[in-house]
Amino acid sequence: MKKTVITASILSVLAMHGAAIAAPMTSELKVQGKMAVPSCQVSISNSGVVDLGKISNSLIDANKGTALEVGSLSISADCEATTYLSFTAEDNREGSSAVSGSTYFGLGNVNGTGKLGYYQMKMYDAVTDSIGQSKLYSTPKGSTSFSATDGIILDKNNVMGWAKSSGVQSSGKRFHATIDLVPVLASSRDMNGPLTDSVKLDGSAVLNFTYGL
Amino acid sequence: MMKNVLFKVTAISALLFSAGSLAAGPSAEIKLTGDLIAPKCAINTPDMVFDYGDKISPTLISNTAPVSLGKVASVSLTVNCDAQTSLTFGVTDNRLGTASMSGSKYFGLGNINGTGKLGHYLISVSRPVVDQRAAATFVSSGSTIPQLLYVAELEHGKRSGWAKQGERALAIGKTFGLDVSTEAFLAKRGDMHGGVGDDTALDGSATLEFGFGL
Repeated sequence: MKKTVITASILSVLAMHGAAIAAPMTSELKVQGKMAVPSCQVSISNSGVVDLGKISNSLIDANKGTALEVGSLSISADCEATTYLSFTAEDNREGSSAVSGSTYFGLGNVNGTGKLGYYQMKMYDAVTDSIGQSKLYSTPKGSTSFSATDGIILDKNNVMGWAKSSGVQSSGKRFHATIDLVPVLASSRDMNGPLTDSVKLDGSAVLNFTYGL
Repeated sequence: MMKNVLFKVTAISALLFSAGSLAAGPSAEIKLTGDLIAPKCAINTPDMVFDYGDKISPTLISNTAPVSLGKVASVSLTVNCDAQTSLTFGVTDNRLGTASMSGSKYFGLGNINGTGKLGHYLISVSRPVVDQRAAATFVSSGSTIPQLLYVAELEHGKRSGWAKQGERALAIGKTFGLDVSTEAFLAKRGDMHGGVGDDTALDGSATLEFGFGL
């Protein structure tokens, strides 16, 4: 009985050895996950339109701009997944601002190349669902550092977004902020002379959102 | 082997980050619109009559000084415009030269006894309002607002209007309100160049001519 047992045991070792040689020398490790760009719905109150209504052309000063009524819009983004959210601003009336600078947006032309005025956009009251009251940042395109503030003036040269603190973006599924549009009517000198007809103020800007900085 | 696998994971993670950074999201358009037009305004109270009645006694007339007939209840002047505008008015004394006091805030009440002067009156304005919000007023002889006033005495040959509170600039709005009242004075006897007959009437008249600027 004892012998038999020994033999069996050798066979068993041999069998094991053979199995080890025959098997492939690889081990597979899988890393799984689906890449999904989060999708956000951005909505702006009043379809993004601030209508100043009828404005008297008598407000046009000969040499200096005239401040018009400030209009307020509220902007929100609803995202499917938690994400960072940043945006850039583009002026569809580029070159028609009566004041040059990357925070001034145009209101369209009149009298040929005359400029009707300009507006600035001030963003504040930032909120995200993750941290509640949030800060904002605005940093030159391509920059990776920024400081967080309570309010920013939208800048065509910058990337802007919601911030937790300086250098830290604020992630979330829901983002909110208020944007004040601060319009100024150009002087009649900047308009290339007096208006002979009724004229429409025609400001248009686009905010392009991206997920990340 | 392990090193290889780790490397792959790192590469994928970097890809994820970079894809996240570059992924274009939604866009939103912001529009700022308005119509620049020549405004039209309507004055709701075109005729303001301050009537001191027909029983002013000539015995009130003093030998030494003008005598006040008191203030008449104020009239609310309202102007409605169809566009956002500033609003001013020039003041003209239609009885210029008949006031018994000299100075641009004294308006004439007409002549008596030839070149005699019956008296004068003051026009005071208060409670300037623009679009239901309290505003300021002013009296200006040039193109600037020298001082913000909340109660003012109008002056002939000068312009008044609606200004912002706390800023020497014209207020902008569509609806403008102002309370207007007068205080009339009978001239002292010597200024009247004689007696006062039964049918003598106070005959003050002033015109406010509205415009949009200074």
